[in-house]
Amino acid sequence: MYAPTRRTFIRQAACAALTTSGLLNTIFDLRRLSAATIPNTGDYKALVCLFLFGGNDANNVIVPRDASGYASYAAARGALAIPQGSLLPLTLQGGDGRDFGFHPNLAELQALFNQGHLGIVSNVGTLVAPITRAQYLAGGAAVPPQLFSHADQSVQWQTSVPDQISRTGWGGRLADVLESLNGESQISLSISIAGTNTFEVGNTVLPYIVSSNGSIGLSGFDGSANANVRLQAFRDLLALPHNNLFEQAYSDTVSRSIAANELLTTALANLPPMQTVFPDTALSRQLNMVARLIAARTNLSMRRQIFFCSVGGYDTHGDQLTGQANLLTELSQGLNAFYSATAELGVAQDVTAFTASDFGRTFPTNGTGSDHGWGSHQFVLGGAVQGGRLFGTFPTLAVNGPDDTGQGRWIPTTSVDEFSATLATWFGVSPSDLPTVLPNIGRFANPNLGFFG
Amino acid sequence: MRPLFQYAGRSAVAAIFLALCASTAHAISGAVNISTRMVVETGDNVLIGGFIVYGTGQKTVVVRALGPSLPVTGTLNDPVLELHDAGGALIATNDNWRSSQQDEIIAAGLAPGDDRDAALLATLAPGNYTAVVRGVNDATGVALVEVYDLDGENPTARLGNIATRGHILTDNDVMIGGFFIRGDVPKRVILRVRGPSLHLNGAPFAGRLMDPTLELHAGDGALMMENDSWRSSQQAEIHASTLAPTDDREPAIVATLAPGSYTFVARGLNNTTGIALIEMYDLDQPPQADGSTLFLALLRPQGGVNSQGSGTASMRLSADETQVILSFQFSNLTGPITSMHIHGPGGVILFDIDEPMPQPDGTYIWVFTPVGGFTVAEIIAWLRSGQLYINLHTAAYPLGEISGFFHLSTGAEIAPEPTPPPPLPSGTPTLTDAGRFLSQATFGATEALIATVQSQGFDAFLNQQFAAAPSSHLAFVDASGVDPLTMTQTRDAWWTLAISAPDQLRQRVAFALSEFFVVSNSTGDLGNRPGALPAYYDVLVRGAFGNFRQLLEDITLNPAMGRYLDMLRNERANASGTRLPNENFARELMQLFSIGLYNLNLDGSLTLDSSGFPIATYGQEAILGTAAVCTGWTYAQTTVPPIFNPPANWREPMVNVASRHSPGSKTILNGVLIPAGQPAEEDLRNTLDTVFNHPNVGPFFCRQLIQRLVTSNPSPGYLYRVTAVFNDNGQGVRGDLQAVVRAILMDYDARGSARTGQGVGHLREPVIRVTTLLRAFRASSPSGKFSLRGANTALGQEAMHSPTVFNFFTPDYSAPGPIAAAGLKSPEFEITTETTVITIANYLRSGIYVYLGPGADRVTLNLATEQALAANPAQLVDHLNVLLMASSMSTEMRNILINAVTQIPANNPTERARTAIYLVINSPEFAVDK
Repeated sequence: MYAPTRRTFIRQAACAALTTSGLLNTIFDLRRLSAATIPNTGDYKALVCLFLFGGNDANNVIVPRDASGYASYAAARGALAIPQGSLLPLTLQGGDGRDFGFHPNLAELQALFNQGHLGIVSNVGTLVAPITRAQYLAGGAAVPPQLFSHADQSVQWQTSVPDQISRTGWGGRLADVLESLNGESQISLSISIAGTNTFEVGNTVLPYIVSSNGSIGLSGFDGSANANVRLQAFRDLLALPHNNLFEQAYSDTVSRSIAANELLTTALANLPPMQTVFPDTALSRQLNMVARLIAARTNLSMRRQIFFCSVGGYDTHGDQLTGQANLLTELSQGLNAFYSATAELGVAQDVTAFTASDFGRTFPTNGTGSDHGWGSHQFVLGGAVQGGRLFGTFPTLAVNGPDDTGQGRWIPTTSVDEFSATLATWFGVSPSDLPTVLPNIGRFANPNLGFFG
Repeated sequence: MRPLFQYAGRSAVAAIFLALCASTAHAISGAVNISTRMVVETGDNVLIGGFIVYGTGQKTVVVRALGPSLPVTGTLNDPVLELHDAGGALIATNDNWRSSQQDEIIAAGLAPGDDRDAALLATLAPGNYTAVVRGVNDATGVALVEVYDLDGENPTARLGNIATRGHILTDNDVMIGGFFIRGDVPKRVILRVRGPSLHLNGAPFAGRLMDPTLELHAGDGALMMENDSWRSSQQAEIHASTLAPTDDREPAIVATLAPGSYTFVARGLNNTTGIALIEMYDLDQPPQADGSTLFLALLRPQGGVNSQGSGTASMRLSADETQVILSFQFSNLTGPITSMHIHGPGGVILFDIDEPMPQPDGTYIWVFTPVGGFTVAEIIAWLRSGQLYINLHTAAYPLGEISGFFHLSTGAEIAPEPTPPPPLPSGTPTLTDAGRFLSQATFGATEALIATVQSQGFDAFLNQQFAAAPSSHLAFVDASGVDPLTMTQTRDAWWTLAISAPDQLRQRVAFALSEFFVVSNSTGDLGNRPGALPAYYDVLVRGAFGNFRQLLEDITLNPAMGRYLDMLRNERANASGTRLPNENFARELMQLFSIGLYNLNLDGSLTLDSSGFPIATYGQEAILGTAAVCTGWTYAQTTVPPIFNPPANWREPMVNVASRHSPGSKTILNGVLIPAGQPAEEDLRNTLDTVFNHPNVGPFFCRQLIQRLVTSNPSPGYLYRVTAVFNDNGQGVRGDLQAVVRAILMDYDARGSARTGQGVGHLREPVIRVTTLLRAFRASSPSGKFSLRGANTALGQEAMHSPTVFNFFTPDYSAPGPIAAAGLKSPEFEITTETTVITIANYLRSGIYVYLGPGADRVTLNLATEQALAANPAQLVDHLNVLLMASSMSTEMRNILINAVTQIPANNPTERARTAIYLVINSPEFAVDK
């Protein structure tokens, strides 16, 4: 049986970093902090991380529509440029006079934006510390390691500590801090509909993985005498202790699954049917299950929920115009259905969904697609979001312009830390707990980007 | 840039080498120059000088070969200089120094005195390099080779040196070298002479000097230090440098030398002669940004400990020397740590790591206080002389399972040769041995194969498997008669061959290769491109026992891979530069298919620079250059000359259309410059050669192959031994995959090591659990095909269905919780979730109780043997233990199973058999292959 000891917090640091102003958690810190600072106001909140794997080319998601802005965009993008007439106009609130449009396949998100439920955060990316183009080109200033590698950047988006090897994700650390709000709930605060991930791994809270169909139960046990013998023997096997850690982990996974399945299946079965219709796509099926788990929150005794969903295929090195169009249709319809579902459940203002992706993509094309970039634009969606606005700083869309590393890969002006901190703060983390969740936040100027007002 | 060199003395056929260390802003130490002169002969007796670039970043050097300008008689008339990288690939060459870089050489102040002298300027990434000097047209004569460091103030990349061989004779024909330390502060160096330890391709070097001696003289000739055997006087210091000779007869001297000139003399004891190698290394650490000093330790099992465990540790001594920050990691111990300490000489415990709380980032702070009668000054002196060690204790090894001494981090650490493992038992394999072997070497043991291996032995089985004809997936799908071919036929081929093909080992290795050189139906509808995926898979099947270099080329030119990673019809940049070559394949070629992201030692550990950080293998420039190499390639075709958009051809390697290929020069891995104007085939050949010869390929590839076949956590020794075979199969061939497979399966860690440790083995991949079930119980179908359906959904895995090019799981995944805390990798757990464990169990249940595959062609098990044994539950369970678990079933599990089977009515042998099989195949103990 795994019992935490001091020794279990040995971090997998390959070497001592020169300085670590950021701090990763220990359970002792958490318990001290949680007891002192968690408000007990009976509210409910959910965060939904929608990870677009491959690196979404947001350069074609939100495009300048004014004459000169569009002209520069089109000149540089070449074959990848979206025709100006196809762009879906956006109405920017708050006196922002800029003229932008969405990719033509984002009609539902256009509506949500113009209704004020969807916001855009511009040019977000992994950063060790703020960096200018001049500093980047001169070398010497710290940048996240392996900037254009899918695996590394995906992990760094999820951990939000690019300059350290971290086993935990910021969502997991967030769950650690707020875990007590869920009291005696038997289901993990963090649920993934998309398999294992780093985002939801905490020091104490680990993600519970379900499928789009919910949890799955063992089949072939019909209550007959022979089946019962087999079932009992199986349970006995699962109760054996194992010296081999792989055996023990496998056994624990099966045991957890069986226990949670009974609870989850009951909780989901007792829900009234939902009116909102979700499209039949992989993404929407995931979001549908998220909506149902939100509906079951009271049955599951959960005041806080963190969900992880994902879609792949965004690595549009080739055939981007067709490939990305299909993906964006799925994204737009899925998020729209999800928002409607939360409205139907009366929790629209309590649920915030946000996108994340490995990186953006190069501004010039490689022929029919684009290559790995860096900073990109992300969506935030929910009733609490001050939608209809662009947050952060939109990059200058020029190769070798002030925001470019050199081949149209934008240097982020907003860090993943700031983006995540805004979400975490809304979710209920106090300012004193924030560095526990986001150790590097002190290096950046805007821990609250303001998209919740 | 002031080179200052002096040469004093001569030697017969030997080069001494040059070592230049960049002086830093803090002027800790000035440069050390050695140059030497020798007679350049022909063939192997040319002049070879070696040097190492350490640290991070690039270093700019000028290498010169002087002949005609030397003020002596008998000079080499026209020296030619070659610069080679670690793998032997030629980086640059020069015959006459004015021919290509005249301006730069003059600007550096290094213009040779004669136009026939050779010189070149190169910017080099960290690594080993050799400079070879020959005479044009095999002329001979005296020449001088030199290396100059042009980055005088650059603290991040430094030069060290290695030596090359020389023939030491007697009297004046011993090896004499001079060197000069410049700057204004002393430099700490180690000098050593290798003789007995000289090996070539794994065998002792013929004619080596068996007992060398070493003398160090001051500039005025006065003898300063001498040594015959390194343990005799400075053992602790030499050991702390991590560069201790591996043979006790070899001499070494550690010295801190003030600026000035010195000579060293290497001779044979008692006037013996032979070939020797002299080396000198810089032991200074460049200043750390905060004034601290970094010490590193490599943790390995010591003494009689039989463990696969390993680890690393670091201690950072504060600038004011009052405390250290301790950090360490470990992996693969036999059990949880029971205690951990820092010890001094004689084992005195100086620091109990359990006592303080770890810092929030996991490090520990040790504030120095007097301990056990020893003062703080003594403790610090021990630290600096390499006499402190860290020891991790476990229940199995209460005196310490792994430990290591701390030494100054210089960026010059090399992986130690592992202690040889115990010998394997002789004789033919037992039932258990055979079963364990077959779970690694096939898609599942059968009764027949267990008997075969038992009677023939492992080697005979391997030989037979290496010789067996490869089973072709493409031939299988073509024989199906279905037109057009779809993913269904590809799946049928894979399952049928995995389950029933006689070339089991080849098919199992091909599957492992498919998880390394990933191509899947997730992109470009490749599953429905007729024959595309089976044709690709056949490349892996054919290449499984061939050479890695050939395999690398074959996957690069395969059209399915081209489609998957965008090399197919990738075009050169357009004139305005608004369209650049696609980088996808170029990046994954290096990141996933050959060398990975960081420099590795031979045992798979990260090479660290002097600040303790890993060293990246390549940068964005190499990707841009490689992407340009990967342009112009399209489907094979009959049209001559080839056109860029012919009909799809999935069955033959791609061909190149010259007009679509980037014509300019391209900088690729290791800073290698591919000249402009070469045909694409030549560009590609140069690129693949450079990649193939990078020293990372062995440890990077072999580790993953071991992970797929044997264990998720190979010990450093296991990986070192297998990498050695990859680097040289014993006949001088690099990349011999058949030899590598044999080395993996026949190593002590696979055949002889214990199966009961906490981190032994690996979780069986879901598809292999299915093939194991179907093979063990002689599954069959009416048609003979195994047309499994729904496998990917139920198992979360299926061949050629990977969601991304990163395979279903990554080599470094550690399941959160106790596995990660123990420092263990567990790749297969990345797809093991609360959902998949149940869906897999349900799928296996269908295979046992119902059938798999379509209703019209059901795959069912033959349980005749098991039904016959069912009357005796213990016999049935024991039979399954041998057949499925290589006798590893615990007593507790056996009791539960026997008890359950007994409760099933005896007149229902089918149900008894199925119950027992279900319980075994879904048990945690079976889930882990060990």
